[in-house]
Amino acid sequence: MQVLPNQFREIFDKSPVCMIATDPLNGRIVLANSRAIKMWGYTPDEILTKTKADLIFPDDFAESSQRNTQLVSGMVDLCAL
Amino acid sequence: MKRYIRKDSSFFWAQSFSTAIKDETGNVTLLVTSSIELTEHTLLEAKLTASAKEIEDLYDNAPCGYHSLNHEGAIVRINATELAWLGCTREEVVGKKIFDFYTGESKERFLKKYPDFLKKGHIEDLEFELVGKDGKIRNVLASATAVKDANGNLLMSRAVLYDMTEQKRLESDLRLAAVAFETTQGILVTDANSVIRRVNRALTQITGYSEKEIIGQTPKMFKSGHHDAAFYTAMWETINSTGSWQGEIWDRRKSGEIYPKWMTISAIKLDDGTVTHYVSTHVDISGLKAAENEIENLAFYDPLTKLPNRRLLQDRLYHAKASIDRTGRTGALLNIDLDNFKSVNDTLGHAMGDVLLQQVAERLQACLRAGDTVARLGDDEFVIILENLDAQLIEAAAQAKEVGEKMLATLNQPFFLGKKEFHSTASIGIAVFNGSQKGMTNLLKHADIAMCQAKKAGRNTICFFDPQMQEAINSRSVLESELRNAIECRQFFLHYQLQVDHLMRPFGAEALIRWVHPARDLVSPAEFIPIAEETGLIIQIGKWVLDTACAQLSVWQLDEKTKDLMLSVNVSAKQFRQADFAELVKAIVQRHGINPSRLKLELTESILLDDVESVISTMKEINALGVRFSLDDFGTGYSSLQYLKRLPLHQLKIDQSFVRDLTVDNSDQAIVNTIVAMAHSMNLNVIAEGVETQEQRMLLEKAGCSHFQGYLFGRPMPIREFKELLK
Repeated sequence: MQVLPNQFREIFDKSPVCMIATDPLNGRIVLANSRAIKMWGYTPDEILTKTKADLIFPDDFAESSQRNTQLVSGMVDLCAL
Repeated sequence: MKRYIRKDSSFFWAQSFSTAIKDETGNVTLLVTSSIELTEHTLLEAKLTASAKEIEDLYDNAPCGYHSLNHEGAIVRINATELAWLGCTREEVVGKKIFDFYTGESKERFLKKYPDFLKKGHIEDLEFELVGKDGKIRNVLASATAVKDANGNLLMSRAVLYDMTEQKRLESDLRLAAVAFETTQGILVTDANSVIRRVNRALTQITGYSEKEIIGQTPKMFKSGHHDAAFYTAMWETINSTGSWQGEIWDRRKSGEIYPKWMTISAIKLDDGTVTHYVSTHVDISGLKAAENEIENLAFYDPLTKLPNRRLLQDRLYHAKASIDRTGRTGALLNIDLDNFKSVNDTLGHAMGDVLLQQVAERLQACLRAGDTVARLGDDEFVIILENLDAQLIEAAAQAKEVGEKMLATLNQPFFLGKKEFHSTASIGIAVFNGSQKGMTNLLKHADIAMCQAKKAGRNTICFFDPQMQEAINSRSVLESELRNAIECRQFFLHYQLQVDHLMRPFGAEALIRWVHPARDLVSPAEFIPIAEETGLIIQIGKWVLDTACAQLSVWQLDEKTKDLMLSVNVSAKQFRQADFAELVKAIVQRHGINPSRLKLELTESILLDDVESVISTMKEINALGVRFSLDDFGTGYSSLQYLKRLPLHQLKIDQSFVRDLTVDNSDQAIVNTIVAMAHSMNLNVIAEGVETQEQRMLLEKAGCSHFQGYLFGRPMPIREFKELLK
């Protein structure tokens, strides 16, 4: 069975886990599910104007950005933080 | 796990996982992050883990050692620091007994304290020595806590250990420094501004100031003014350029005394070269200097009076002579001898004699002008150099005499020796010298001769040495060498002068020595006997006389007509004082086999001047042989009747000086009468010498004199003529 894009969209949106997708170049949020929107307290439109830096506690951002770099460069496929 | 921030600025914890979404070519097109919020429980657990990790880190890397022991004392846990001390891995240590890592002594202490530790449950500040794998010993201070179960049984114990090794070393260094600081050298520490911060006890002793008086001052307080500003400038330049200086410095003590010390100053610098302190050490070398002076004093000064000795006198004399040669002025040498010094030593003892000499030295110094020298050559002989006297010798002599008189006057003042008052006089001989004078030794001799003249002139007086006297001295020394020669060359002969009794019967003779000088014919005994006395030749000469006289006696004793003749032989005081004189007489008498009662020894009164007891003893010894004694020149000396009574005398001889003027001088008659009366009262025979006229003889006979000698009966003559005379 093939999963349709709108079905995939629903799976993504209804996940009990906060999920966001970001542009690897500038960190801009391109996708955020309902759980994420709720957690961060933004409207669906508002959150798409934010970057990852806006969502992370400033003291912890440096480490997070370092991990992203590792992902983009292909050094790691998955990182947990 | 990280924190996220909400729109309202609150934050939440979440665990995130990120992954990359790639396109067909492998480029990352999206990053997808999934975050799971953390509940409070998971958050707490995570925090505990982090905290445990942090504590583990602190535990391991703390600057002290930690270990935990089980109930049997075996190590169950130990931190990295302590492992590093031991030089072991955790595996090598865990399970071992902790005291396996202690020194023997520490193990004993540990075991001794262990029961107490168990009882109390803790122990603090116990000192141990920990031995590392490499054998290195570390001093540690341990505090431990026991963990017990509900029943009080030990479960385990924990200890924290501090490394005291360095501290111990510093402590012992400090102790060492403290001990070293209190050395016999003075030590002074100033800050960079020369303010004194610390001194040791030795420095307070050297300077005389207390620590309180010194601290806070600068070393300028010790300055004596002995060194000028340039000295201190040079000293500081050296310290600044080389870091230290050492040298001799003269400082002033609190008492005001200026003293020399050997000082070293060192700058104490930080690593960057900044001076923080100056440390100086001070060694008092005044003792050393005093010793140096003492050595010089011994070489050049008389230790008793502190006056220059003969060596320094000669040096001064040399300089005086040089100065006189240069200036054309004159100088004088005074030889001073106390007239009765010997009696001080004899009656008051040598210690008092020394005191007298010291007082004399002080008085003589007080009479001198600056530049003059007074020296002590030995015993009571003092010599003074007067310099810079008048160019005219006569004037110079007057100046010297003035000084000499001043000295006589001051020496005539009573001396106080202990509680005794002592009166002294002195004789002074003066030799004046100018540039033409040759030889300094002669000069000393001249002053000495002049002094002897002063003695002869009656003491407590001054005599000058003059060239005429020099001439007399010169001819005397010629005579002396000829006299030595005379003994070897048998130039002596005996002459015999007849002695008769009141009936004009020959009764004996006096043997008189004659010197037939090869160039001068007969030399008068009055001329050569004094020289023989002074040089000691009299001993040999006297022996020859005695021997020759006894030989003659033995010849006389062979003949019935001459066998009862007495022969008188003069014996000098010096010869009589020879320890073996009695032995000598005995030996000669025996050798010639003569009747000793025919031999008569004539002594002069001078023999009684000192040590009468030993004289009496010798006389008695000789008298015991049968030999008789006659006292010659009686009346001219100062015989003490008290002694006279004790002497084994046979005869008194009235001096010819009384006989000569007997016919014209009533007082001489009175003297002769007295002598004869006294002699008779003492049971002594009396003989008069120098009888030249019948008138004299009759007066003497009238006075009671029984025996005579003189030209009236016969002059001294060779034995051949004497034999003729007897016929």
